[in-house]
Amino acid sequence: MQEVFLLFRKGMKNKKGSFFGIFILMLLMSMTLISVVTIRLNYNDRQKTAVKQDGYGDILFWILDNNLSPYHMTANDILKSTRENTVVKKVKSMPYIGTHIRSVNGKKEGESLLIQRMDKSFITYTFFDKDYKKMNQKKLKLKENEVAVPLSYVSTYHCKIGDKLSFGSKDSTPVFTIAAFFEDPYMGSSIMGIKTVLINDVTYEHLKQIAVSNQDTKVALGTVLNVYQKTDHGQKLSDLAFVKKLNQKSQLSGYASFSLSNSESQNFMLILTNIFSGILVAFLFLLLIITVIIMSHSISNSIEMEFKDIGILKAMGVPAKRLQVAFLLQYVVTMLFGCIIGIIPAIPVIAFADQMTKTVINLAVSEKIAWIPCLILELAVLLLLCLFTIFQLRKMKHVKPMQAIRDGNTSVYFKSRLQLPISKRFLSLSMAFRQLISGKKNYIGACGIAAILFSFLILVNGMAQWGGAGGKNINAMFSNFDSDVSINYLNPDVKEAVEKQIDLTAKVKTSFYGTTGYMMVNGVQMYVTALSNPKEYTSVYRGRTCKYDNEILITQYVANEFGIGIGDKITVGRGNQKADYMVSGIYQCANDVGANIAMSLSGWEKLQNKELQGNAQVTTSQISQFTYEYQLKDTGKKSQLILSLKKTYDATQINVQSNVGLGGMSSVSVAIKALSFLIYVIAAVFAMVTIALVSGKIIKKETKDYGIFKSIGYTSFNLRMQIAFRMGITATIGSLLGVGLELLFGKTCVMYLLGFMGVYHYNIQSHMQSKVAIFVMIVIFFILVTYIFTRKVKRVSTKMLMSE
Amino acid sequence: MKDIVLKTKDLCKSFANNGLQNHILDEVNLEIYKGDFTVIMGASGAGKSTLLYCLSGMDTITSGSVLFEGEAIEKKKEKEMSVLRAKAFGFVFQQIHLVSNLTMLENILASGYLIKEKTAKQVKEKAMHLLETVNMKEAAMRLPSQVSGGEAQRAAIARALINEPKLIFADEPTGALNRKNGSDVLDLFTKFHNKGQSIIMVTHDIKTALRASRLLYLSDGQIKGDMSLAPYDGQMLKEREMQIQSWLMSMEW
Repeated sequence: MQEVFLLFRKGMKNKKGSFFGIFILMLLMSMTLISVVTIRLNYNDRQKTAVKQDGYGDILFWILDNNLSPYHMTANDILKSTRENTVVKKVKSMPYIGTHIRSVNGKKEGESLLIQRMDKSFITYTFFDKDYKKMNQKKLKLKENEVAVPLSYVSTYHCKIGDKLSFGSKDSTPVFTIAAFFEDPYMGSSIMGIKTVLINDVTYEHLKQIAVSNQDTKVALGTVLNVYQKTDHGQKLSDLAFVKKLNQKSQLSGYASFSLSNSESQNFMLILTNIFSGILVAFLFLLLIITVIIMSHSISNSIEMEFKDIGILKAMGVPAKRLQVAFLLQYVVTMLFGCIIGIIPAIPVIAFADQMTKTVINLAVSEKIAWIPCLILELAVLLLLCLFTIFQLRKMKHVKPMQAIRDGNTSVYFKSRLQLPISKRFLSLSMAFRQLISGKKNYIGACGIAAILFSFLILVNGMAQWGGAGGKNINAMFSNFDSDVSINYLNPDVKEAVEKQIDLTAKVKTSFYGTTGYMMVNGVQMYVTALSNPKEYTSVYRGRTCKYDNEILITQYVANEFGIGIGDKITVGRGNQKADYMVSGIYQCANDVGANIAMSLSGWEKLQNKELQGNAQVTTSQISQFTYEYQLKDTGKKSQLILSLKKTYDATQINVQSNVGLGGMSSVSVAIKALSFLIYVIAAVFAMVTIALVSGKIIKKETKDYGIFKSIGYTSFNLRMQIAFRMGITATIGSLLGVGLELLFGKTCVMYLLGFMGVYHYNIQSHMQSKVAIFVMIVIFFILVTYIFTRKVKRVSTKMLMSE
Repeated sequence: MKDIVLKTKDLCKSFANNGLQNHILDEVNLEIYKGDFTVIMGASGAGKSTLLYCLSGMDTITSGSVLFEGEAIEKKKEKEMSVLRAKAFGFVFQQIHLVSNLTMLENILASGYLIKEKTAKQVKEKAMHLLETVNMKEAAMRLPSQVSGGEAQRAAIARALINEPKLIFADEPTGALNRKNGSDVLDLFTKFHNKGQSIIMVTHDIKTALRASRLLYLSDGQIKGDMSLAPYDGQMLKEREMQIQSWLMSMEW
């Protein structure tokens, strides 16, 4: 076995450049794998653990008193009927104040707010100080008008301790001072448009007075129910089945303004983690393929370079198996070393990712590496690569000693049909093409890698651009109708004057009105939009809009969830009202991750209290219920219009907005851009390693040719440019193949990832400009890096052609 | 008086080996004249090829100077040397050293296309003419793997001549060839020499030395002998050979 170690040491020394490249690849793969697996597992684990530890039940319902009064019910009635339900183990309840943010940290926002007392007997939370370090909850004492807000407010509103938060519609409602942050594992993620904030008892009583006395119509009293399911011999119903059972008896979802089950909460909270880990897992898979290609390259190169030595050793009687073991050891040791060292950079990567996402996803995640799953996966990858190496080394069995000694690794060239004559004007380029054609096999790996990198970078670029300029695409995905300005008339008397002002300033193209809210859809609470003119639903991509009052639009998510399609019936309920609707079309709207439907206003009215039905026109008293949407002819004047409206009318008269509040989504967009930057960097390193290995092999093989070229007058620059052009041509061919790959798989991958956010129909524009930009970038990168890595050519001396 | 085309001044070349200096060339002073077919002879390992590579700038020198048309070539940068190799020097190797994935014609064009003053058409015509001269016209489109050693070496000679160099350096050009091919190659050298081409050749073979117009003997790192010969005309070869042999014996060859 001594000769095995001798060969092993010699090989490691002679091919250290090649092994260094493989070491770097393994290090990067190991780092990425450990980071992705750890982050994904830790986030999942933390979300589940925190939900359990904090005392969340199986489903939470938020019920506003105003929603119950038309049905002559109280919160206690609901509480009682829920507790009596046979599937319910227990119910905790707590009053809350439902309102909207008026401004936070100086920004005017309209996000929904659920203001609760800090009460450990209901739900406990983990708190953070100004440095985002955990605080001892016992030490935290909120003062009057102080509030604890979810940690995601840091990313959404750039909040810090001491900032001001105001809510409701009147300046007379108190302004809170942010005193602490807390982890809300249930709905604290920045992508969720409704948040819980915590206050003390004194502040609560004050707010309760405002709600009860109706001083501010945007401040309402309600009750949150924390419902626990009964287990049957340790078995539990799914959340969906549990909600259906609850609603069978009490129509709970119908009365609730909002509800969230454990599984829904987990989906929402982990959207970002799922998307990021989805992208990174796909990237890892590609890195593995690239590593396999590069190793195949390296192994065949190794065998070629040592062909003569292998022949000599075999002639001396060394069995092929021992030679294979020596070679295998070289690769195994390199890969193992790379995997182990890759753990080190994974630690700061995980810490950095956690720091970056803590204030977006709002989970106090552990930074500890998930050792066992990571080690298992690393071993699996190592084993796969070892098996591949063994498979590649089988070639050594077939090396005939005398043939190897006599002929070595001399290449024999034959004419190729693709040959083009060398040209004086494009001497370097034509010579480069000739060299490329003569040794096609050497470049297939690099070509494949360029194809993979190109198609993946297009995918990542597409994901990073998904938000569109100024969030244009986000709007298209989350809004099911087009509107430039949305107005709530809190004082209906000003409506006529406001509409006059709008028309004067920007000319109204069309206007309509509508409402939104949560209703029961086939026993499950979903977000519903109802418009006076259903033709205004712009995102219908199958079937048609819901023209009649018994028709409905659903998303692909709802269609998948209930296994229904166009023409099927669906039951929608609100309070004690219920009606059947026929699905007329499928539309795109990513609100609530796709759990939403749309109908006409006449369809919606069927579910209202009988007193409200049958009115052909909206009465003055009903105007304030609806949101009026205006599409402008002169959209350039939109900002000017909104400013002037806000100046003329205060928040007690109208509430005017230009876009759906999507602060959380823009942070998703920023996070995806940051991730795509990381992927670009890793892709660049992989490309560099590929180029280093391929160009290293080329130089070793063609050293004699460089000597010949130098002897007839070529400079090192000429020769390096030839090699660089070859890699440029390889990158060009690879990128063109990558276009094909992207066309085949790109849309599927993007749609799969966007599906996590409830986007099932997205017009992925071809973005030809970005494709061309990436193509040019890859080609130039390959040329430049190759030129840099071919410095060795300078050292090739013509004296190597000497025979003596 | 003949023009000096290449001159050395105290040319030294040493190699270091395990801390010991090995002086291959020791203060060599020589002049190469225009129009001469200079053959450098010496015992095996005397440093003939080393001298040839130093004279042509293919190898660096340890000290001294090599002057080509009055300019020291050891001081030239890579770009300047490459211009010299393209325009002024031609090299023929013992191992032939044609680029294996270029045809015979393309091997010549690869050198010819470096000269900006000529058009592609002119270079191609000249290359075809040279191939005809070296009896390789029919094999112009063949790859080195598709021709014999002699044919390849003839193409290599054509490559060395494409840019009308002032000097041809030949390192044992027949060393890897059989007798017939070797003779054909030497005939070509004689042919071009008779047209005025200056040639410096290294050999240990007397048959090759017969073609010379000047013989130099290298021994112990120095030029120990320098003999002029009458122009080669293929006549009285035995007498010529005896002349060379007795001269070599006086050099203690």
